[in-house]
Amino acid sequence: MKAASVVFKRDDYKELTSYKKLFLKIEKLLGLCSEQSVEVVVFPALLGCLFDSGERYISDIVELSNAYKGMAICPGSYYEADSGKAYHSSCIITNGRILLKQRQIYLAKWEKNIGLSRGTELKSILLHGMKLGIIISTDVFYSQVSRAFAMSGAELILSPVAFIGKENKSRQLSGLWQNVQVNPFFGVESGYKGSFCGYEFESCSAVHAPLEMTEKGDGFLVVESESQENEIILAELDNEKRKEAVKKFNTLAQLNIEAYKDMLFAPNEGGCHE
Amino acid sequence: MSNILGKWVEWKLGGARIKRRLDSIKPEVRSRKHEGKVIRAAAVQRSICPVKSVEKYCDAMEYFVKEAAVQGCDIIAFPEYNFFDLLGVIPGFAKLNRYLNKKAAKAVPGNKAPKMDPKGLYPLFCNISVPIQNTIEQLMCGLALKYSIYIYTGSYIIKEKEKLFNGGAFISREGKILERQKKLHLTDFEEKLGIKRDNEFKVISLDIGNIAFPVCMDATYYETFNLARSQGCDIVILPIANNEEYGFYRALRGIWPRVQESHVYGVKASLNGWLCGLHFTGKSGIFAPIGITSGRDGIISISKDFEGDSLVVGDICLERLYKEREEDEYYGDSNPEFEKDFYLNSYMGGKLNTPKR
Repeated sequence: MKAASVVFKRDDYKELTSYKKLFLKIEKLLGLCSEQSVEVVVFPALLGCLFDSGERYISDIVELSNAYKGMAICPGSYYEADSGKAYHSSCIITNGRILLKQRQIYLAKWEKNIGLSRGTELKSILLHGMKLGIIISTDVFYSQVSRAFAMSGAELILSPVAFIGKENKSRQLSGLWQNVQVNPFFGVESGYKGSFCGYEFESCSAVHAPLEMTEKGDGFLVVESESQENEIILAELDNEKRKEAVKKFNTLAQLNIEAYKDMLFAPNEGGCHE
Repeated sequence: MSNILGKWVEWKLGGARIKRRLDSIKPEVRSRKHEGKVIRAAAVQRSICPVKSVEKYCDAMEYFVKEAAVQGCDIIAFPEYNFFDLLGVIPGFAKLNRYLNKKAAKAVPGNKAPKMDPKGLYPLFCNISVPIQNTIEQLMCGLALKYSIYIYTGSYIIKEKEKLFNGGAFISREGKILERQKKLHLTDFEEKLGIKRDNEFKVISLDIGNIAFPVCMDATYYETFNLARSQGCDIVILPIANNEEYGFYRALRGIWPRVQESHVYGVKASLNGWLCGLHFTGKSGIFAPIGITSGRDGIISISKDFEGDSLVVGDICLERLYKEREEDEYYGDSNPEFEKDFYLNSYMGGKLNTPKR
């Protein structure tokens, strides 16, 4: 499966001053993906929150997706209103249909401050023979989310992210990268850079894989670089190669479930995280 | 034959010899007292160096403890398989070790070097594990008392009810064993060897903080650190002995990300060098959440090289840690509804919701 991650730059944020400009940019990027025969593309988090309602943003992308038949589009994230609550959500859109919707499970402190609510379940779908799910931004720092996906057999995680604060490679490594290494699925991460709600965000884009199968042994199939001129980065996700890599370092085979009964949210604990 | 080997090792590692060595150490009066704010920790990084006599081993261990004491450390941690040096007392071992190491070093990449059959080690470890455990625990208890310092022994083979485990002990400043912790997650090699995993995770409460000491592969699993936090742990000590060539990213799969996600301090002690054709590498280090490290990289201090001997020292401040837990954007949220069935759904065969297309 050919995957693309959108590389969002500081300048993009400055130039995208209206919903119309944002949408034209998305159209252009999808065109680029189409030229490269991309089968799945991930946009950065918060794109659907910048101007208009999340509902309009998603409905416009659903319509647009009809022009890119067969391409699975994860349009970044947006705020979803439901029963008087607002959720940080994302989805996968193909051929004019939403195939899967995912709400963020955990909240960063700034997200609590603006009154967001938490999702409660993880969902996955089969796409081109690969089981995939979405992990939204803050959830990459809560390893139980990745583990739950891995235990359900997920082979590919799409991850629109927006990390608060200055650029920090270590922070980024402590997110999806490390989760891919111990839950050996592929990870396509697209990072937002810019302002939102009075906060500054800085996050990178990358396509991750178990390091046993990456050329430099670093767990990156491709990663955004400072001199990046391309607006998308591309990687071929070879699932057979991934399965071979898993045989060399199969973390899930050595889980000690008996020992986990006293975990923070084991039975009877009722989610008593501090 | 096997009983003879066990008796031989027991004789070579005699308790009286260790006592004599310990008695020769002049009691050290420490100038630095723990004042409840900053704890100084030391992580040993050491090369495997098989010894002919237990006295040599005592000297090697004392060197690190003394150095840690001189630097004002409250606690020192030794690496995984900290007993490998003692295999040198087995007749013929030195020759076999040299032969296998030479063979492995000469092996052309791609061609397999001769490797130990893990199963062949089981009877050996069965016979020598008890005298080795007794030796290390007697020695480390003595050193802890002499230098008035907390010691994590590093790991060794623990034999219980005819089962072998990989674990280590935590020793008080008064030279008493406070607790032992056995490994919860095994490597393939250990599994083939016949080592068993344990299911019990322990956290001990001390004047310097709440401490856990899982072993090596345990840090690959976020569950281990979740267990640690569920028992109020602040400092996790991790002995390692990685049988692989060093790589920055490969090494990053262990304690570092666990420290970031669970917001504890991590003290990693590493064993390196060659043993019977196996190559061990790894840097010792002291780690903390990114937000409380000066380089914003999650590292307080780390060894410069992944081979050789060194003592990595770093300061731990629990007050800063507690503040960071409150302030970090990406730590400390809970979702009771998601978490209530997490164990059943994730580990006991529950399924994720898969929408119909």
